[in-house]
Amino acid sequence: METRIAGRLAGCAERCAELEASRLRLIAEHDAEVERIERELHDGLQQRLTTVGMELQLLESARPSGDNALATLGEELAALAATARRLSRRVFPAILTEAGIGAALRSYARQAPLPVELNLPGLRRYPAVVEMTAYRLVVGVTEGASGTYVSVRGGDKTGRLRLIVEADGDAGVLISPPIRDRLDALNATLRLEKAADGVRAVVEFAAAPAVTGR
Amino acid sequence: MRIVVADDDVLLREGLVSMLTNRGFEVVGSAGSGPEAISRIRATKPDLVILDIRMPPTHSREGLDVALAIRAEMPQVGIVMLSAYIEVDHATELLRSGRGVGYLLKSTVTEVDQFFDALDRVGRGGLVVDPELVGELIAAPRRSNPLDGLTRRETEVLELVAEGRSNVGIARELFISEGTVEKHVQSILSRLGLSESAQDHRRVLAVLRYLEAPQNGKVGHKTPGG
Repeated sequence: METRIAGRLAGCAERCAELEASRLRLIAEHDAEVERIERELHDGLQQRLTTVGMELQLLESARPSGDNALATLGEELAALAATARRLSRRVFPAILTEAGIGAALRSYARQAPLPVELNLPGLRRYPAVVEMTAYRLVVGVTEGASGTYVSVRGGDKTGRLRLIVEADGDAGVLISPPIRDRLDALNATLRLEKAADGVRAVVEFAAAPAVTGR
Repeated sequence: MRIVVADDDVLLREGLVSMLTNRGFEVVGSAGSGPEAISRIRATKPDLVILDIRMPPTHSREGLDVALAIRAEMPQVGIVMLSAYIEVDHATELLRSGRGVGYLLKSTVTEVDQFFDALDRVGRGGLVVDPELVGELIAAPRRSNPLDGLTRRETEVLELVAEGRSNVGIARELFISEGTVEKHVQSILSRLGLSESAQDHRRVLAVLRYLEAPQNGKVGHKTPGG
């Protein structure tokens, strides 16, 4: 009887470890897919729009002046290119892979719906899933904020990313269920604390989570 | 002006080459990767290079590395960097290398007049920072916004300073005298707690850094959350 229970428990533990690894793989795979879409948008769509725009310019310069049709077409093309850029930025910020979480957050803060104050000294590069989770967390908090600002402090703590996200207003800091799932999968700790004018979230990521294949 | 063009996207590169040739520029070389760009530039000694930031082999910041290497080797060569996304760090890294540099969004090339104007300014040793990046920086939401205290004219001047224009350039753009520009610039910089610099590129650097993180400026703002 006891050996049977011990056997069942060992089986459960094994299954549990498998599920944890598989959850991490699913998240990593999802991120990679989104990144592939961004690359397609960038290399495929945006670059082509730019090329067509240049061809249009060449045509325009070869025609007698006063032809407005081509100019109008050029303007529409420029608007299309701007939409493609916005879309690609929204799908996946390329800057995250290329320059890391600090640069990506700075870029986000420039066009966020409310002030996002950043104070993140000494950041390093972290595993892609960590950077993506941290980025999504800040974007999620900002978009769900009911107050007047969001502040993000923290930085590197012996190779691990630490974020203190604060927001004023009634809603305080909202960490959505998908973000909680991500944090959990990454073995990150999340603590919610009362702050002077709202609620703050203290997030500490674990050391490099290994995404193990099967 | 003799130009080398480096971009790994063949269609885009060819498009650029014909656009430049059509405009009367002499394209003396083109390249599709970082190492290729370096060797083309060394072999042809152009007046100006146009570099894509993301190129093989690593598709990350080859263009920027090529720019810094060329800067050290041939400081007289003007450098125009094209990027699919805009990042203040890249701009400041480039601007720190001195005069005759430009940092533009790739899509800007279809705004031909603006693009050729940028090439011209960089060719003459000037600085060009993409107006879209500057616009974003100026419009970024801030908790206590020191820019709110500026008049509309002052904001216009600040924008042009951040885009890399000299006082003469700003005066011409806004149809005001150089003396008036100087007065505006001095008042803006002192309001933001930035010191006036004789060198244009230092001025641009200070303004860009300030715009990105005003709380790190010298205005005495609270540190975030503090």
